[in-house]
Parts: sequence; C-alpha cells; structure tokens
Amino acid sequence: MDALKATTSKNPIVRFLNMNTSGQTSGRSLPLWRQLLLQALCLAIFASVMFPIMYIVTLSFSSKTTRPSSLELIPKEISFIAYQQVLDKPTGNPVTFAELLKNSVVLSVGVGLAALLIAVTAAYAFSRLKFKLREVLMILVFIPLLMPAVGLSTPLYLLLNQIQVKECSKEVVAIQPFTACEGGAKGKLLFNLRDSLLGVGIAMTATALPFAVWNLKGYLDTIPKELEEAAAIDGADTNQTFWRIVIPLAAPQLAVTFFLGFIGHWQEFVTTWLFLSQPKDYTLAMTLYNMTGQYANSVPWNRFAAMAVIIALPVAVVYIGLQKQIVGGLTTGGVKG
Amino acid sequence: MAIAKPSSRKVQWKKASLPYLYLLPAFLIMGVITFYPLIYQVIISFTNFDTKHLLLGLESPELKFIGLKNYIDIFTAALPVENFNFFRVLEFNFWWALSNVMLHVPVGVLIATLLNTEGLWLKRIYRAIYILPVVVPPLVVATVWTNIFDERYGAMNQLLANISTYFGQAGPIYIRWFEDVKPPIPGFLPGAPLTLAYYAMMIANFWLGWPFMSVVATGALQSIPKDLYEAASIDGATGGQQFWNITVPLLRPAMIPAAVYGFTLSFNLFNFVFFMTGGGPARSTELLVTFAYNLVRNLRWYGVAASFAVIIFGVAMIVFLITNRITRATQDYPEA
Amino acid sequence: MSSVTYKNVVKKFGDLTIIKNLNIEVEDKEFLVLVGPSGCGKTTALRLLAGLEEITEGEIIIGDRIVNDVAPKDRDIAMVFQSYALYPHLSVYDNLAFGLKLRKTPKAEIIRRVNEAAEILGITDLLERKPRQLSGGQRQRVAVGRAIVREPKVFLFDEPLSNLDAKLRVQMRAEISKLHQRLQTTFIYVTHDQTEAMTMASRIAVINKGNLLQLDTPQNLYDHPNNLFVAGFIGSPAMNFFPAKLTKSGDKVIVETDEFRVQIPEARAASCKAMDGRRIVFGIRPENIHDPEFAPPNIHGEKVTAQVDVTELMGNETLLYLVSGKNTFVGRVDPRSHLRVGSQTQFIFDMDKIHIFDAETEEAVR
Ligand SMILES: Nc1ncnc2c1ncn2[C@@H]1O[C@H](COP(=O)(O)OP(=O)(O)OP(=O)(O)O)[C@@H](O)[C@H]1O
Ligand SMILES: [Mg+2]
Repeated sequence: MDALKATTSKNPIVRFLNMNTSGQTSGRSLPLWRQLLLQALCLAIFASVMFPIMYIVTLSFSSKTTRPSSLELIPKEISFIAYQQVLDKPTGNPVTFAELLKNSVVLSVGVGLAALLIAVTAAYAFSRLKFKLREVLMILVFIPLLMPAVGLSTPLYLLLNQIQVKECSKEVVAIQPFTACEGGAKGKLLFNLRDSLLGVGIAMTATALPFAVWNLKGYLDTIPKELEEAAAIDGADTNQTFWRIVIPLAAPQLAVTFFLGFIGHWQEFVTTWLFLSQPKDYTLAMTLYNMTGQYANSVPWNRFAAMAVIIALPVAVVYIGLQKQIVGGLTTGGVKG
Repeated sequence: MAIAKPSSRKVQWKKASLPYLYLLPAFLIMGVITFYPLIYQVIISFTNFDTKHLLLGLESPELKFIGLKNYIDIFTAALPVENFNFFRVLEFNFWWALSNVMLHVPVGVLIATLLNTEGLWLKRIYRAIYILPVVVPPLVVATVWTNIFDERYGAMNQLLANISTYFGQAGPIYIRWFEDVKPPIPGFLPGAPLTLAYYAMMIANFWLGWPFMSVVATGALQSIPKDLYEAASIDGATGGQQFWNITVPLLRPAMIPAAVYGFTLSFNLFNFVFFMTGGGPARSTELLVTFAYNLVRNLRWYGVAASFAVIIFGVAMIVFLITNRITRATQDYPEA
Repeated sequence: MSSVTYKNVVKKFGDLTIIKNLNIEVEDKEFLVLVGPSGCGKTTALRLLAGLEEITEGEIIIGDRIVNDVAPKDRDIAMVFQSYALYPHLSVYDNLAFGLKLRKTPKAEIIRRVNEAAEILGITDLLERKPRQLSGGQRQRVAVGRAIVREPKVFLFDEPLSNLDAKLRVQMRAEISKLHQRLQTTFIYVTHDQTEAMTMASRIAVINKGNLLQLDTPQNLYDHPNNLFVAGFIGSPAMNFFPAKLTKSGDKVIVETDEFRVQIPEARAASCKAMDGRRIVFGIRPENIHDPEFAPPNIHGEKVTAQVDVTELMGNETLLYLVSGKNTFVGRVDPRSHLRVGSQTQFIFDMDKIHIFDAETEEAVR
C-alpha cells in the first residue's frame, strides 16, 4: 500500500527515486557484458555529476588559504577552519554572518509568505468561482509572469526610490513624496524605501505574487469539484467551503508553493544587488557573489567554498523535505475509489 | 403552495460580489507594485530618464519626452555602448536557449532510459546521485562553475592538464575560458560569434539541465505500459527499434512541455551569464536580461532600460505565443 | 411531506439542451430510480434537484416549496456522489459531522446522530480513520452515512455502487433497499444498470436523450414497455426484435417477417387490426422462446424454425443464440434442453407474451 502510494506520487522527483527500484520483476536478467558496459556508463555520469560537488566540498574542508594549484576531488583533510572564518567574518564589510542570515531569511520567508497569503483567495476565485470579468482579470494577472524579473526592476527601482524619509533639521522630518523640507532644502536621508529590505521585499513580491496565483490555481483546479458540491449540500457557503474544505486540502500545495518561493528568494540576487547599497542589508547570496571570481581577489577559495555549501544546504534539505509533503498529498487516497 | 421567498436583492448582490472580494487583496497589491510600475515603465521608456531625475521622477523639470528615440537607438545600435547590437544579442539569446534544450532533452531521455534498464545494479544509488544538480540552488551552481573555469586556479584547466599528462603533455594548461574573443569554431552561428565562454556556459548549464529532463522523462517512462515492450520484442523488435518506436513517441507528450519550460528558463537564464562571463567577452554572451540589468545597474540609463524592458516583454510574448502553440499542438497527442 | 416534482424542467448548457421538458412526480417515501444510457442526462436531472445546477426553464418542487432559487443547503436534501466525495482531510467521524456542525447542531445531538448512523451502516469501528484508509465498500458506507445523519427529506444517489466490484454491489444493493425501508423517506437513485433499477426501485423512470420515456413500477415496465427503447433497455438478455409487417387474413392477424410468419392470438388481434399492412417491430423476450421438448402446455405457441449458433449453459437455464435466416436472436430455455450447436428445430414462441411496436413511432401497439 505504501509502496503503491509512493510510486503514484505526483512529484516527479519522488517517482524518479522510487520507480522500479529492483530488477526482481525482470523476466530475464541482464547479460553480464551488458551490465558491465552500462555500469561503466553510469559511473562516468556519476563522476561528471559529482565533479563540481566534490570539488567544492573538498575545497571547503581545506585549511589552505592559497588558491588551488592542482585538482583535488577528495578531501585530504577535514578542516572546519573555512566554515569558522565564514561564520566569524563573512566579508570585509562590517556585517556579521547572523545579520546576513537574518536578511536572507527575512526576505525569502517574508516574500514567500506574503505572496502565498495574498494569492490564495485570488487563486480560488479564478479556479472555482464564476464571475463576469474572470478571463480578463486572469490574463491581467498572468501578464507579469511573462516579464523576466529584470524587466520589472527598473520602474520598481524608480518608484520605490521616491519614497524617502529625510531629516530637514532637528525634529523636522519629511516623508517624500508626501511632504518635503521647507525651502527645497535637501536634508539628511534617514530612510530610502528602495535601499531597504522592505523595499526589496516589495519588489520581489511583485513577481512572486502572479507566480503564486498561477501555481495555486493549477492545484486548486485538480481538487474534485464534488467535494465542494458535497460541502454545499452539507450546508457550507462559499466562505465555509473555502476555509474548511479547500484550504485544508490545498495545504500540501500551499507548503510547496511557499517552499518554492523560499528556494527562489533564498538565492535571489537580481533585485537585491540592484537595490541594496548598505552592507548591513546584504544577503548571503550577495555575499557569495562578492566572493566569486574576479571580484574577490582577496577571498580565499576555501571560504568561498564553505559559503557555497552553507547556502546550498538549506535549499537541498528543503527540497528533500518537500518530497514528503507531496507524497502525503491528501487527495490521492480519499477521493478516488 | 408556498413559493420559496425569492432571494432578496441584497443577497444576490452579495453573491455576485463575492468573487471580487476574493480577488481584492491580490489586485490591490498587484495594482500598486505590479501594474502601476508596468505602466510607469512604458511611460518612461519614451523619456531621457537617468540619474538626474531619480528624485523627482516624472515631475522632474528637465525630464524630456523623446518619443521613440530610445527604441530606435536600441534597434540601430546607436547606444553609446561598446559592442552592442540588439539583433546579434537577440540571435545569440535564441541560439543559447535552443542549443541548451537540444542538448538537455535527448541526454536526459537517454539517461532516464539507461536507468530504466531492468536488472541494472545500483540503480537506486545512481538515481539519488543524478538528482543532485536539481537540488543545488542555481546561484551556487553558477558561482561554483565560475571558479571552476578560472583561468589559473580553476578545476577545469587542472582537469585538462591532468588528462593531457596521460598523453605525454606535462605542464599546466591556461585556457582563458572567459576572455578569449576568438571563436573556436568560426562561423558556427552566422552573425553571432560563439566564443569559448559560450562553451563554458554550455558545460555548466548542461550539468544543471539534463538531470531535470531526466526526472521528467523517468516519470513518463514509468507510465508506458511494460507489455508494449513485451509485445514489440515478441514481434522481433530490437532494443534500438523499441526505443525509437515505443519510447520516443510515447515520451513526446511529456517531453515537449518540459522542453518548452527548459527553453524559457534558459532564455532568461540570468545567473550563469552574469556570474560567469558578465556578458563578455565583447558582449558575445550577453542575453537580453543581462543587458537590461547592465542598463539599470551599471549604466543607470533608466529611460533606455525601460524601453529595453518593453522590448523584452514583446520578445517574451512572442516566445510565449510560439511555445504555447507547440505545447497545445502536442497536447492532443493520442494517449496510449 | 417530501414529494418531489419536476415540472416542465428544461436544462441547457449553452446551446445544448440536455434535459427536454422533464415531468416527474415522485411520491413521498418512494424509491424512484432514474435509469438510462450513459450521457442521457440522469446526473444532470439529479444535480438540478440538488441545486448544483440552475434550471433553465420549469419548476422543481420539494414538498410544497418551489426550490428553483433555493441554495442546495436549504433544500433539505442529501446526496451520495458517485465518487463519494468524502473530505479526505477529515476523519470518518468528522465527515459525518461536518454538515451538522455547519448547522450548529448541539454537540450531544451530533454525537448521537453520528453514532446511530455508524451503527446502521456498521462503520462504528472506522470513525477515527481517514477516508484513504478505507476500502471502496467502506467509503461507500461513509458516504451514505454522511447523508443519513442529516435526516433529510430526500436522499439523492448518483450511481453510488458503480465503483464497487460485482459482489459488493449486490450486497450494498440490498443494504440500500433495507435502509430505505428503515428510514421511510424519499429516495431518488440514478443508475445506468437496469438490474439495479429493477431490484431496488418502487418505480423506475427511463430516460433517454433528455426525455422521460416511461415511469412505472419495475414489473409494469418489464411486462408492458411503452416503446421500443424501454423494451430493449429493461431486461437482460435484452428483448429480441424482428422487423416485420402485420397482415390480416380473415379474422387472423399475422406477423410476417422475412423468415417466418406467426399468428397473433385473438385477445391481442383486435388492437392490431388497425395496423394492417404497416411495418412494425415484433418483440419477444428470450424466456418466452421455448425448446419444443420442454414448452409449457396451454400457451398460444407458434413454431419458428431456427438453428443453434452458440449455447451458454448457466446451470439454472440455458441461453441459446439462434439464427433464422438473417435474424439472430436469443432464447432462454430449460436447462435440460438437449439442443447443441448446429441443431435445427422448431422453437415455440409464446404468443401471449409478445410485444408489437410501430416501426415509425417506435410506440407500443396495445
Ligand atoms: N457542465 C456541463 N456543460 C456542458 N455539458 C454538460 C455539462 N454537464 C453535463 N453535460 C452534458 O450533458 C449530458 C448529460 O450528462 P449527464 O452527466 O447528466 O449524463 P448521465 O446520464 O449522468 O451519464 P452517465 O451514466 O455517464 O453518468 C452529457 O452529454 C454531458 O456531456
Ligand atoms: Mg452520471
């Protein structure tokens, strides 16, 4: 029963890992020479997949601060010094690892949650409710999906940049564009929405939101209509159906949408790099860029490698956790006969 | 006979307005942070907006409406930027996406088929490992490969050096992956030279791309009933014939949407280009999205950037319409 | 009072008219079965009654209320869906209690009703489980239970047994019939399985292409089908039909097919005389075709020569697939019959049990 559930899972990755795992069903066994040939092929692919991974892992466990002069793919030593250094002082800027982590988490979780919460009712309306402007509004929501994130960043940059808090003189504060300092005085800039995590979060939500609507709508479309009809006969109105039937049923997909958002924004680089100028607002992803290639002549590569591993791990872990979320998909068991 | 009381006006109105109530939060937010900026973008695309106008925006007294000048400059390569030619970038961008997909899909399918071989040892382990590139965040992948292709300390040159010692060629190799301007295969793509940097990016993106296609193909392979192969082998079809006559046609409905998805993804693949080559050398690996980013982040020509974004939107629309047609057409593929 | 009336009900989806002027009166406490081939509009008719679709024209009356504009929840009905539509995230108990909770029923009352329903259906042990942990038959019971706890005026069932295997289906059939006797409420039950209809219904409505063809008790439908469609649809194996012509010779009325001529008994002859010379369809059920060796006495038998093509021994009876010229037909004969494949003999048609339909209107000639 469990095995059956696993193989019928909707998650392609789960299926990939679970399908047809033993050769037991095979009527005839593979001839040895073919087995060996295929094994050689598999091992070659294995090596090519592991190459960059082992390279970076080995590098991260190295204590050498010089750049690698020869290829090493298997750690000769397990030293956590690079990790320690990255955690202690990730960059040349006066910003701690904890702050970088906090900024990354705030942005990725915040944007993921905000997009989800705002999107879910709209997704339901598009999926299930009948109303006049449905088609038009749906196209409107999905148009921004066609626009690469870079494309929206110009106007957002300009618009958010106009919202600034300034200290004109002692105790006189102006909030642009709503109020200005007297006599056109420039004043001292206290806060620029564009140059803040909040502003970046807003800009990221602008593209995350349509995606969340689209993603959730696709899932809600697959929830059998009969469930809602049964609820209607049982006495539920639209709101009750939404909260008591649809939301619990969509819970796995809500989680998936949130985590997809989290994964995407955890490594968000385009907007943050464009908008943020103060090191205290930097994220882990921005730091990693600072440690890469020509921009980081002074950064030892073992630290870069340690940082890369640190950034990759949560995503990999979430990815693996996500599989279970989907396997537990409620509708597979209950609805079909 | 009692007639049930007809639903009052108020109730009816409530019922009709409910869907809009559900849409309200999303549309309020999107109105401010998505639709308004999109419109704003179109407006400033007709202006000479640059850093001078940052503070006052459209109210800036020196802001001039310059009609289609930005657009014309972009199309006629009249921007004061070195090595920029819109149509060359566009061509490269299409070729980049296409060549990636043409590589990832067949390899992904072949490897999925390989792993689907009955009785293959260690299948589970291979599957678990082959999935790793999908799990690592692309940003990290891009940075890691950037360092791998480093001219002096990168793993790729070191690997090549190791290999060449087997052929009696001792000594380090310094291939300038990201700097060499001379295309290794001249005239491969007429009009847009494919430099070494392109091949480096292809390698990196290949590492990332085929496992995803493999995952999709495996799912589709699983849904092909086994008895089809049994029937075919009874009919005398060889392994290769079975692959071409059963596997390939039955995978098509699943792989075409995946290929379309991969195409769109590669088309706008910001990370690799930005991290590995920065669009260079000589803008030979510039994509539309990376150039747009350059316009905003480095050049700060907001007006031009806005026009460019509008153009990108047009291109994206065309790509979408084409790919949508392809996906639609294959949806009707008869189910087995 | 929980009668149900469809009055001139029309349902259109866009330009497509799915239900064409449906008129049905379902009496209080009746077990009405709607049957018809797939796609004929049964489900649609039921959904109109449930309020899940809006009716285009006409009226639906439950009790003494016109419910056209009444929301499903206020119609005092309960429905068992073909797919069961159990809430996958709720336990069996909560599935049953859901409707009651929404109606703000006191807790003690909910517990009482759920337990009672669970007992009736024998699912008391399953109350804690989630639907996915249940077998098909158990899910079916839960779906019925969810309807029972509501104590509605009318129960609606949409092919509730079609997802079960044959054996379980027979068992549940009996249980639903028992339930109807126990609850003493109106049941409206949709199926395309005519056996289900025959065994459960107090009356059957046969629907085809959105039209009500006949509404009657199972026995009457079987014995006196109004038209060709009903005659062919009810009964298994189906009634045999022969294209034929009626001819009068003196006082006798003869059915003339390409292959054989049989005489209509005097009792029926009168009504057929008007059809003299017209094209008809002559119908006879398989059990009214007898092996001459075992034909019952005292029937108006007519001899028809045919050859046995295939035999199916069922134990308690034998089905013979017969060929007579261009006609093929089925006989259901005594199991002791010695007829084997290839045998040719003169079969006895029991002419008291024949059916005659106008070939043009397809209506029965009585
Ligand atoms: N929402 C709808 N929009 C358009 N056509 C519909 C809709 N629902 C049903 N139909 C059509 O109405 C006809 C009757 O459908 P209905 O579901 O009532 O058939 P049914 O008698 O229940 O058949 P079955 O025995 O297969 O369940 C079908 O031709 C169907 O395609
Ligand atoms: Mg139906």
